[in-house]
Amino acid sequence: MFRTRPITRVGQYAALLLYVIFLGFPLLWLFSTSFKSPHELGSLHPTLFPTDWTLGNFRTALAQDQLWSSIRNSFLVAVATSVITTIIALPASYAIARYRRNFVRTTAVGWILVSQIFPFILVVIPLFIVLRNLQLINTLPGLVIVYVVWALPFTLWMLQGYVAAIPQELEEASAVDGCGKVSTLARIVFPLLLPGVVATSMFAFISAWNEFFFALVIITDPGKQTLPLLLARYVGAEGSVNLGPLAATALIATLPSLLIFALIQRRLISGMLSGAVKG
Amino acid sequence: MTRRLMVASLAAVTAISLGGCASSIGDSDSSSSAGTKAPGEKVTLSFSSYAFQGPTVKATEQIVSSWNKAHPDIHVNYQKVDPNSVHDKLVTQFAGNSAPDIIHDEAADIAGFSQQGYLADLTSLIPSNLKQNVPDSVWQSVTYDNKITGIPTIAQVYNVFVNTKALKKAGVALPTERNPWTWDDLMANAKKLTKGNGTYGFAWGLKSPTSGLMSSSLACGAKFVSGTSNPTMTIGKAEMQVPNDVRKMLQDKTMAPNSTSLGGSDVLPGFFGGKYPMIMAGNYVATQIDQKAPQGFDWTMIPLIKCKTQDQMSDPQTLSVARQSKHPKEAMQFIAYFMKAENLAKIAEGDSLIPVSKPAAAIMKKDLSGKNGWNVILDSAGDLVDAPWNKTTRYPEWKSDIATPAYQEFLSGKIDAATLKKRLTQGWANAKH
Repeated sequence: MFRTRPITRVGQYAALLLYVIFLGFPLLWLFSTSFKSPHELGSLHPTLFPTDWTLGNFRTALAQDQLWSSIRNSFLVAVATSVITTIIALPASYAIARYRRNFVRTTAVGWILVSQIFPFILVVIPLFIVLRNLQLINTLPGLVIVYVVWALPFTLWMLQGYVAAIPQELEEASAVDGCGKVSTLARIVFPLLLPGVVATSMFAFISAWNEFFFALVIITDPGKQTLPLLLARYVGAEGSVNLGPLAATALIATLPSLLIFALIQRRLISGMLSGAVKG
Repeated sequence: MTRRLMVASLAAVTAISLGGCASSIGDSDSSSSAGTKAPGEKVTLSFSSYAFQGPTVKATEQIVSSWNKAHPDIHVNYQKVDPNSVHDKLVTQFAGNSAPDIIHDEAADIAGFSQQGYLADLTSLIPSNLKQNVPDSVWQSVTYDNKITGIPTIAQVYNVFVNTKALKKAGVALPTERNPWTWDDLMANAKKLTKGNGTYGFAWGLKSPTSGLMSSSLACGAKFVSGTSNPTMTIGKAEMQVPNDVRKMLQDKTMAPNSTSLGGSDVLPGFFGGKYPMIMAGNYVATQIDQKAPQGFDWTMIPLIKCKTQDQMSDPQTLSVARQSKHPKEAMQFIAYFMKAENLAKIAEGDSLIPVSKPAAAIMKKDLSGKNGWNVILDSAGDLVDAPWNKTTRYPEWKSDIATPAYQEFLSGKIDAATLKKRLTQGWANAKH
């Protein structure tokens, strides 16, 4: 059996440590900045941790009228996008993965790939006009529809990889044992697909949670704005930034995503691995 | 192509291709089809503003709130927009016929919207006292084809901020309003203040050098652009003087070389830390100095650097009325209220910018009691002159694609003056318009 040499193992851990630092440093810097005073933020020699910890930035962030409504709006939009996208993508991805010689599959795959080519900026004005005609401008449902349409192709592509990785023989065995199609899907396919469903719904959630440009164009009422719109207002013209309150608000804004990730981390990782190896 | 230009082009294409969905601009005329409010009728106006600093946002909220209390039949809804997305958002809203009634923007940005017919002509609606309170040269900067489409509110100038203790220690006397420094004086004093060991006399955050260099060049008689229908660019001695002086300071190491890669306010930590006792920046930086300077840090703004004059580019923030608005008269009434001296002074103080109206500047002078050189900076509204390039459609693309990289290469010594001139003029001729 192959054994890793100790020096290789040390190298692997060192590389892993560097990678963790690379990933974690921006978050650490965000955390540190959110506790620094304006004077310290203007210092010529910035320090990793504040020399004089302050909650002033959090007070400014929490004094924002729209902070809680923005968090609520972002959460509602992200959850709705995630749920609707998954509900649509689940049966569709099964059809794409299993009915391989079907015309619908070829068309769907073509649509998925082509849709990824268009940049936001190309579709935003026609989309705005369509939503305006549907009376959906400045509404959260309007934003959810846009996010679902935008996230669906990639979600579908991701999920059909997970479906394809489930051996068809399991479904055949289930049929031999007397299960109907629906029962097979519910008892055999869905439990095996669950990690993939979690991974794809998280993808849809995060896309909607972080999205800025569509929200900028569609939402005008301050009470309906999402978190990225609120965060953008800390950045002024000519590169001036209210860095402390921005960091504090961003930290508060990151917490819900972190919490959700922490709760479903195991399922998500197994889902990602499943897709990576077998997809 | 820049994102801004791309959005503008797309808007035009979409407005044409979706003509059936969105009413075209030509369909309505603000002055003819706009409704006049019937007695007792309640009107709601939307007002988008990119006010950014906390005190300015608060002042804007107070103005809107006091207006709504005093005018129960004309209600204004305040919509906050982030400063960096104003253009993109407006392009989409104009194309979708959903623009706010009252739009906060800036002179250079409304030039394109004015030419495309998206903004109402306010010339006949402006109250006479408001017209008189603002210098003619500033009105000129918001006049497009003889139509005023934006009411100028507050403006910025590029001025030098100095660490007064450091200058005193080095025996450098501060200039006065009557005897401002020339570029030669600035260069000589930068030399006196340069000590080596990473301490330079002067710094200017020139990561985006075009606006600052061109605005400062106006004082030397620079025109850059002439002609209206097909404007041409000329780069002569006047247009090259400021870039040449800045390059000289960089070459003799009296100006911090790293500052050319920094943004306007990124030089502040070095200014606070004693790395450079003089910095050039937009006067809005005063807010950040107030907030971030260490205790005991003494600073002041000095009068605008003189060349032949002290002229600088007038690119004020503006309040416009969308041509799609059904109530331009009521919108203008609100703008006139916003422009009342006490209101505008609060807005300008919040942003550390100069109110273009004289009565507002007088209130601000009184409020600030002349601290940090504010008196002399507030007087500089009279030095603001129309910058012809701001009204050309090719300027935004030329600025980002041609001028900014060319100026950066010139300042870093990669290209000489002749090459810079050639690139600027040829780039202008080839820029889309």
